Amino acid sequence: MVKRRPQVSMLRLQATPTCNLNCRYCYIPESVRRRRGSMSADVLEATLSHLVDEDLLGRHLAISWHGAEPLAAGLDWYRDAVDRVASFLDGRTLVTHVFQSNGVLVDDDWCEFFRRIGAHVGISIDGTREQSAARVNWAGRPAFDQVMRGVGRLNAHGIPWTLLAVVGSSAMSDPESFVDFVRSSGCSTLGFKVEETNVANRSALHGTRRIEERYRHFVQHLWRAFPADGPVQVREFEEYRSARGRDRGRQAVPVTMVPLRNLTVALNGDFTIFSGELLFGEDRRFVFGNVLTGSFRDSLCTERFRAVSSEMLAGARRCAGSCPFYVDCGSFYVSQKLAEHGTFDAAETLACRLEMQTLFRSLDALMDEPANA
Amino acid sequence: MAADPKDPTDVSRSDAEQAFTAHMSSLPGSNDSPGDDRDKGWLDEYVPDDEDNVRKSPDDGGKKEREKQPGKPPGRGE
Repeated sequence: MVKRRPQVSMLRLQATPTCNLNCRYCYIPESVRRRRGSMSADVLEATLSHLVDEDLLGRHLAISWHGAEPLAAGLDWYRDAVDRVASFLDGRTLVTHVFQSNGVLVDDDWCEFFRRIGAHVGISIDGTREQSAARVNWAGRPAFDQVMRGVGRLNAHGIPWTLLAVVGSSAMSDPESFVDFVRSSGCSTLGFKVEETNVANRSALHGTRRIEERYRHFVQHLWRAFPADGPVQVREFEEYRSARGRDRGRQAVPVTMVPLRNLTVALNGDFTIFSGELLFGEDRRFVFGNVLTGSFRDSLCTERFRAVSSEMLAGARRCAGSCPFYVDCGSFYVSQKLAEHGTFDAAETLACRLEMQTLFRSLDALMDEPANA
Repeated sequence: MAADPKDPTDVSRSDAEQAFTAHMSSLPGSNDSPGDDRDKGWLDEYVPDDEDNVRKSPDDGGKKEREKQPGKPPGRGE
């Protein structure tokens, strides 16, 4: 049965609010990304202490170092932070460090550090130079060449990395070039998501004509290009296979609906217990506490939690009552509901229409073809 | 020594677990799903669950294999 006690699987820590890029679709407001600074040792140690003292650890914990751009906190900061993590958590849980970076700052020293700590590295880039046009620096100039220099260092050091792409209209129109780029990039894994409406950006895909048809074409092209036993694994296709491999009717429960499962702590110690995207804007409605003054468990006993939980559950009931994919989705798209509808008590979003409904329908249709049956 | 039921820490912990349970039990589909590992799917695609649930997982072999693979992508929840 579903575990009846809270447990943290992924701890997302905002090492720094700073970003060296100004990507046009970023979910972190520009005002936040212009700030400077790095998380203090007091906030980091208070976070780790709470995890231990409140009995919130399982066998594994992924620590996702977050920013804006996490590497902007600097290598010396991470050397110290990783040591502090080890001093608190060694022997209590198995820690994996995860860095989702724009790649610009990756150099040989970073690569050696990643290798030493066994980090999982993800690089955000959206395909070819043209398809990555939204990824620009603060002067508005494309960051593509800088990112690819960082990718080159990872490849030179033989470090496996994940390519995480935001798919926009350009990539959907030319999946062949997207596939060629991914194959030549040197990545070991691909994750992709559509440009979605978030708390800081309204997606350009809203109102795009025949969007489902274009996304279906894109998804099916990628499915054929990246078979399960090929050199590049695709996160979304693994999820699809996992869902279709489950017993039909077994309800999926996404991390975004489980309190504390993905825990996010901001630079100043503020934390949120559902989607991390809720924390990094200017809206403080989803700050459930601060590690310097309160506990994670206590945040479950607050009126704020009751209100958010009630609204999220109402939204999940809408999904369950209206969407045939609820059993495989479980109302995953929580922050997107808020961004598009202003409330969690809503059902369909652009992101779920494409990433869940269209993707599953597109791949189900391929499975029905004689060659794949 | 048995925990003091009046200990505010214990009371807080109990209240928190009750709140957590109430939320989880109210998820649509959570009461009529067969089997005992409903919290599969996207919940633990990146970080394996505790020992019991890893053992119960229907895709246990694949999950263990992926654990060994550096560079595995972050889950959707990230």
